[in-house]
Amino acid sequence: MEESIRKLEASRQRRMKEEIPLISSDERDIIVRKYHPDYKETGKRKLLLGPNKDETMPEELADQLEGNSRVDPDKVDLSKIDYDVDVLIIGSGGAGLSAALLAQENGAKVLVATKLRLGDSNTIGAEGGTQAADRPNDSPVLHYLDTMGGGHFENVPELVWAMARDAPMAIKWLEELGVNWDKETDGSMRELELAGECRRRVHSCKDYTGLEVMRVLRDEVRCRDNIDYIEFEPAIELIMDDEGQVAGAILVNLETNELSLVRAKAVIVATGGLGRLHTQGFPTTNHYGATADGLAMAYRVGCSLIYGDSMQYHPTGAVYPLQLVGILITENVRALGGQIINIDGEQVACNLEPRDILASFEIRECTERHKGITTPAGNVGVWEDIPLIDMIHGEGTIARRLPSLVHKFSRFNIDLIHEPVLVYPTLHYQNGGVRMDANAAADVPGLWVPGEVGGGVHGRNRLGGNATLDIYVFGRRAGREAAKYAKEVKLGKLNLDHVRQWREELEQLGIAKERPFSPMLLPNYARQPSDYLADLYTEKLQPGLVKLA
Amino acid sequence: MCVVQIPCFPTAKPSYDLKELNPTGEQVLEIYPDLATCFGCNNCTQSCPQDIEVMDFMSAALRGDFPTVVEKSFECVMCGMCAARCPQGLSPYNIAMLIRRLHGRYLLPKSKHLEVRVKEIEEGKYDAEYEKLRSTPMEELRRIYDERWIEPK
Repeated sequence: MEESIRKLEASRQRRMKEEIPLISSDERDIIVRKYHPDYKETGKRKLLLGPNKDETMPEELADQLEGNSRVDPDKVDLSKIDYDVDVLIIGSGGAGLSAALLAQENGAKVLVATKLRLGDSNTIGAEGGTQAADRPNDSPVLHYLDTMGGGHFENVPELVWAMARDAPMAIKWLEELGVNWDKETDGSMRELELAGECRRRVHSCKDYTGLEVMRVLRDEVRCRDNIDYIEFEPAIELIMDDEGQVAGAILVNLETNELSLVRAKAVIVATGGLGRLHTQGFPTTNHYGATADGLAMAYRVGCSLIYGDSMQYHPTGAVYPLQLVGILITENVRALGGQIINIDGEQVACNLEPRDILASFEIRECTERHKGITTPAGNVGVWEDIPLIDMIHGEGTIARRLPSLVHKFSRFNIDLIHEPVLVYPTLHYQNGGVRMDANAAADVPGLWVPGEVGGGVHGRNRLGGNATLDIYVFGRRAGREAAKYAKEVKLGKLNLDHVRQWREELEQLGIAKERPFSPMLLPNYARQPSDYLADLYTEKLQPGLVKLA
Repeated sequence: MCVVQIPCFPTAKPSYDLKELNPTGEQVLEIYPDLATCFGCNNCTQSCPQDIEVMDFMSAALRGDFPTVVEKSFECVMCGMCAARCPQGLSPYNIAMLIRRLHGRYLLPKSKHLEVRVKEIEEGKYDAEYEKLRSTPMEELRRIYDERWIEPK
């Protein structure tokens, strides 16, 4: 390792001036097809039931989608309602809390149910920033074009436009709530250009952007009347009514296994993504709660997924030290000039290639070309040359702009200001999700899916800065629409027929006993059989009626 | 894996409407009057897992020096350890939060280009251009994309 660091240092002066051109959109398709994990044949299978039957999904996700319900519908008394609200929001990340605020402003009585603590989410770990085309030489149309190109033109155009158009409004909204955006002294935003973007339009709060916004949203939620929240109570099943509308959810108390029944006129599922499923065996940047809960619940009530098989492997996940494997090294590093370097001190590709492209280049470098660097633990990666940033922008830039990163590595005696860091693709984001319209409404009435759980906005690859934007834009739209809908909808009689039907279908297919319980709720890293092997019918479940992994 | 529930340390969290507040030290003292009882024992700083100089931002808060509070509290994850250790029962992390929000909303200079763009969008300035792009055939769209001007760093 030391030897290749010296090679990297030796080539630094030359590389500072070296410019590798971006590859064309046709060349992109070729490299992605050859090296990107999404295009690997192994680790996938066809779904046997549900709206996306016969479509191929990563095995880990297929297991969740085809999973057994944690609820026995015959043992739940739907006449005993614990909470009766206008809008139920499941999940308390950026999308969930944006939705909560807008639903409340539009007159709804809101309940937020969350699996861990209020605000525990991927949003809070978001480092890079939020796109919004607000500088004079930029426009929402260019933002639209960049996003379409980054997603290989497979994005749903209406969704992309909704996001690009609302972006400056979202930034302003957050500013008025008290977010401290990075600004110049005259008030103009200090913006960065991330990969695949033709203008500087990423708004940041140092490299703590998500944390800063999440703190503000959480504080605001706590300040308002008519928004209640329950922590450590994830939803495990949606409740329907006899009109075919989503009409609430069943929550479980993680400590006592007790169930709570929520009747809600509108339900917003904002549970985020699935990094903790570790598709294709990759480590992940995601927090412990990212287990595809919303996907599984929505799928069971008849919502279809779009690009459910498309994952984002972020090209710069840490490889060393072992304790940090998979954690995110923000794309701002590349935006500031950090380059990706192989064992010989040569650039692997242009540092501003979109994420899926650079990830593919890195995989090629480390596998086919054998130009990766191997750690003592046997992990392979390439260098990200961070010290270059101070050479380009002046001493102190790294410490000032990337304090979170410097802090994180300093705990392991790695000095990022003077040393490069080893990186390799890490599972970062689910590009697809539940199919939705421009207000994040799902196919089934009464259900909204803003944020990472919803799909179509990003096509098959998301640009940096569009995830945190997605959650505010569609969270706000969903909250507003759900509150309006709640004023008009008449709920029928509640039922769990969809759960009953699901169980019958699984049994008919003969796969009930082979599938795990879902939603997963928490990942299981213990060396013991997971609930894959548990048998819903022979293992006598306690009166809580819930089998927790 | 073992998940242990450690919710945030329970502290007083007054409700306020940011729109109706003034960005001043007096305002902060009105909402958190106990702030004045900080006697600088430094327990908060010593307990911070993020290595934040909590006591320093508390004294800045007392002085009404908002920019220092914002800068010094930037890495706060709001775990509440400082509040748990405070012999005066203060919650430094909540106080910092109020000041951060006042600073973001009132004291950071407004971004003029943002205001302009929001107005343009609301007036529908970009809708026609989007519609045109929306109906552009894919091959042409790819060409426009590949040939678009990319702003230098």
